[in-house]
Amino acid sequence: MSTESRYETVIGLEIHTQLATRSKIFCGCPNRFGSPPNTQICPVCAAFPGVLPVINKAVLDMAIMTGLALQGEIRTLNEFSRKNYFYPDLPAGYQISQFELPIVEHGFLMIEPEGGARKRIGITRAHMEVDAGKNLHEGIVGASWVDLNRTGTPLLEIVTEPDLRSAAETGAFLKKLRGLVRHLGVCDGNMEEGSFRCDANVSVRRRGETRLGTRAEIKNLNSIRNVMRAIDYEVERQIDLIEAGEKVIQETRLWDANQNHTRTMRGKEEAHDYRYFPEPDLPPVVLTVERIEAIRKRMPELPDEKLIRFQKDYGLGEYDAGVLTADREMADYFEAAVMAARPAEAKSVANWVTVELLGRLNREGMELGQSPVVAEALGKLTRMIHEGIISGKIAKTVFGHMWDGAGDPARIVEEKGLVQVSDQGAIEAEVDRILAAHPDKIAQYRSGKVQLLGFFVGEIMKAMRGKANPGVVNGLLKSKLDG
Amino acid sequence: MSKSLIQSKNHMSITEETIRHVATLARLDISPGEIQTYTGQLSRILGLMEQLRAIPTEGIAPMSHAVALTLPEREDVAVNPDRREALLANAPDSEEGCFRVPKIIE
Amino acid sequence: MDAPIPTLAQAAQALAARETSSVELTRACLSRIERLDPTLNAFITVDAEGALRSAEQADQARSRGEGGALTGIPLAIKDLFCTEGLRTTCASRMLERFVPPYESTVTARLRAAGAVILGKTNMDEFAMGSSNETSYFGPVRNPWDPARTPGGSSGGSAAAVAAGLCVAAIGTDTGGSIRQPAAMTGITGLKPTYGRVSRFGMIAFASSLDQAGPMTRDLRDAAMLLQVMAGHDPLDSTSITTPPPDYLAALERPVRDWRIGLPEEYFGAGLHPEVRAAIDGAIALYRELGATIVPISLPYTQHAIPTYYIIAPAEASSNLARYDGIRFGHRCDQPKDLKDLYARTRAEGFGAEVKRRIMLGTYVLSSGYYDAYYRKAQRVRRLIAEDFARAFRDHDLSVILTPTAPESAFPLDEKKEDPVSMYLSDIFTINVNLAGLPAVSLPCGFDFHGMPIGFQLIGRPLDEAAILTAGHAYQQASDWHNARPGNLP
Ligand SMILES: [Zn+2]
Repeated sequence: MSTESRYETVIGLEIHTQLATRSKIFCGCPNRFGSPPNTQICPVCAAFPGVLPVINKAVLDMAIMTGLALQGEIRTLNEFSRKNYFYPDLPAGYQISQFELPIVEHGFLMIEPEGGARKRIGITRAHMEVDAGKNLHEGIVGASWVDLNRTGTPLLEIVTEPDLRSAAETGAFLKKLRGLVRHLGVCDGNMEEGSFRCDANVSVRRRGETRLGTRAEIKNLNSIRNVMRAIDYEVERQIDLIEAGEKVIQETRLWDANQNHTRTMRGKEEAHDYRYFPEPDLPPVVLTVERIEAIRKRMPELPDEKLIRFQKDYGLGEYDAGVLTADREMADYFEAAVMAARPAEAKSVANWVTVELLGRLNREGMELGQSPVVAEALGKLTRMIHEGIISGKIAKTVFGHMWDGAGDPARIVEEKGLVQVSDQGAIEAEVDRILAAHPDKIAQYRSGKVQLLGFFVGEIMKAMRGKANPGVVNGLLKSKLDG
Repeated sequence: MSKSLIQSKNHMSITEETIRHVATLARLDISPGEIQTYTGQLSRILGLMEQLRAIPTEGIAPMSHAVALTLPEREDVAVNPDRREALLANAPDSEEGCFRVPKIIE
Repeated sequence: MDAPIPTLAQAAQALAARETSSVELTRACLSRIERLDPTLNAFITVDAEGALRSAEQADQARSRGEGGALTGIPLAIKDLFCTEGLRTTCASRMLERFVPPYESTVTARLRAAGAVILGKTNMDEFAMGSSNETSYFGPVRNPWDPARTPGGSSGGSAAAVAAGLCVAAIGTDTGGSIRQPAAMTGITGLKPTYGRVSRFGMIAFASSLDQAGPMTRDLRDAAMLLQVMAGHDPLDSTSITTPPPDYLAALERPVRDWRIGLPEEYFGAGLHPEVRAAIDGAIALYRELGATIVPISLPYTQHAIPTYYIIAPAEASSNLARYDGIRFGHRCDQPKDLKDLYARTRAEGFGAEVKRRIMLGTYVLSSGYYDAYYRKAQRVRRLIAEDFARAFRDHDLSVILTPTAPESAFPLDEKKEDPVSMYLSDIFTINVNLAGLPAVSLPCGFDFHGMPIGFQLIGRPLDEAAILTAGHAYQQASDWHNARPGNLP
């Protein structure tokens, strides 16, 4: 048994999702990324003396919706608390957060790790809080700068149970959660810009041990790949420590993507005592069941529900359905394409989306949103195949033209003269011409070399520049050769 | 924590070490003389508070607000214009539109 | 000797009748400030220029036939209401040079009603104190005897009204900071129900207790100011939405057959006999007016001091964390690192009492002590609030009558070095803040030293009208509120 396999990894996550509201959580400043420093602050979010917070309704609505999507319980009575600590990016000296009574508790999310079975990951809680500003260090000599633009951005912090057992599971979970919040439209999920941030609590223990090992909290993880790399590194570090007879200490560690390691975080307050107490400036949040149910009703269909529906309604396999429901944009694209085609053609639409379109997007390094081929056009293209107007092969050519910006497939087919020939007479004339030119091959075919059928089809197609209806060609050839 | 129970048995006496810890949490630089003063004063003030321990409060909900209200909400409308200059005007030290602080080490 | 400064009602009438102008009235106040304030130290900042400008505008408005009850009335504002473009210090070195880029809701409403702001009054630093001696700008002196305290923390506003440096003033009350100085300076001070007046732009001491209110010569003036100050503010999430009633109309009701509660716990051994005697006189007058005096009990009263001195400092320790020398306020010289910036800035910027309360508040919230102190105090707070609710309900009371303070104005320095005895002087007022109730202090006599004595009327939640009615009935039948300090220079 290898050293690694004698240990079990235990991971719990804290995910900070920035809610995609128009304004900040407690003031009317715009909630926007990338403005010049301190241009979207006001006395409230910059914590000037005497100012007071007033909550943004959309924050509560988005928190409720996310909680419902995570199958959690929505607390109809929840409250804000102050978490007290000093840091320049926290202007009030306290963060308005939720402590004893969070808005969401006891949820879960199912994950499908690659090569593994479906697994339920518990969500301990999700609570609303304010984001901090930014301390800027790079390129500044002898000082740091404080930019408070981000201060007051609404966050929903989602805390998982320590249910994850590997970097792969963690990656699968984060992809699933990110897809979910994007799908709900509550967060853009952009890890690089920090709108979807993850801290990982990582510990190891000998297999069979039921108590949790000492954990390290890892911060500064700005991509799912980095989360996975950091976990792998951290697990190895902790196992090495234990194997060497040393102790893992509970601490916060920073992931350094350049050096590919984690290191102790210095400079943060040495005494951690947040002195939580209920926020006196904000009365308790009281939610009605009616409000929660109204949000449930207007909530977009969840990816897991969609997965099942796609299989049932469109007859798709689990894999295709999974790819098409991975995010809302993809699912919407697919369904719009099916609308332009016919429900019966859904499977072939799925094929075109997952193979041709995604393949091309991948090669070009593009996102679905940048696709020059719109869903309706792709649906029409599929429909034209099924109506026998073009062959699948021609369709690929048409798709190429569509990609290059030629637009409507019907027009392309017409302009380029690509309409499939299904006229028996026209095809028969060509079949007769080809057969007459190859009497030797006919003899070989009739003596048992049936694979020569493909040769004849190819010759006819070549002669007709691919426009012949392959079904008709096949039928005529067979009747003439075999008959 | 048991610490508070032990201390309260023989009147509320705060140690100088506790005072130093609290001063660190509160980010207050205090001199050795002040530590002594605070130790005495806070012990006496906390002595006043001892009487609360005898009051039965089981089942009494903590009261965080003077008046029972529920949280009012505002519509999600972004309104505030850029007020950087006005908001930096009181800053003891600023540079390039930012508040300037001693170098932060992370 | 110049003409005495009128009450608000008198001034409003004279302005409306064009018998005087706002400029004239404002000049009279400014000249008295110039003459008397070097002794009293009631103002931290006097804005003569701004005041005269507002006065001119008010006079123009009046000449156009516009304006309301407060148009042209010169007021003094406690220096913890943020005033845009006008320095707001909270009587702290920390904010010595702070000029807010925004306006508090209270001052905005007063300005909108046409009031003239003379300046910002002295107070205990961050409103923490009961004698006005914790101010970075030096103590305020009592106009009745400059060797004595005017009380605190709204001591500057109280002294300014008592000495006629303004027509009326605005104070704030977290544990008695309007009512106790009102009692000690012989004026009327009203603390509304928590949430009745917006806290936006009012520099926070203890958020769940702070409330702004008028400090005036009599109840009529208090009603006139409250009418403008009260009302819902969408910028304050703890602001009450119920629209305020017509407070002036409330003044005209008789108190015949009203039931007035007298809590036995407020008349115990700690009460100075001369105060007791003056309060007895007030009780007797209410009997004459036809009210029924009902003995009641508020048994949790005795726990108010420890409860308050846990909750208020706890909230304060958090509220005052924003003073870090980064965005505004004092910053220490040459901070060598972040820790040094925080620790020295705050040590230098805050005075001893503020630091003491920050330490106390930090301690009671810290890990291991929260349940024993903070949560316990919050539970007792509920018991204290329920005490009042039960008494009002069971005895069908309109108001409760108590002394405002256990003693009259004490000499400066007497309690300065003894925080515990200073805290005990809030004993009759802090219950009201813990319960969030409206209360008013009004003068009812003098002690042997010629120092004013006040009594307190406490109302049901949102029933400011009742304390206005009861207080006004008393002032209609008595003369104490008309007494003015006689030995001012
Ligand atoms: Zn803002």
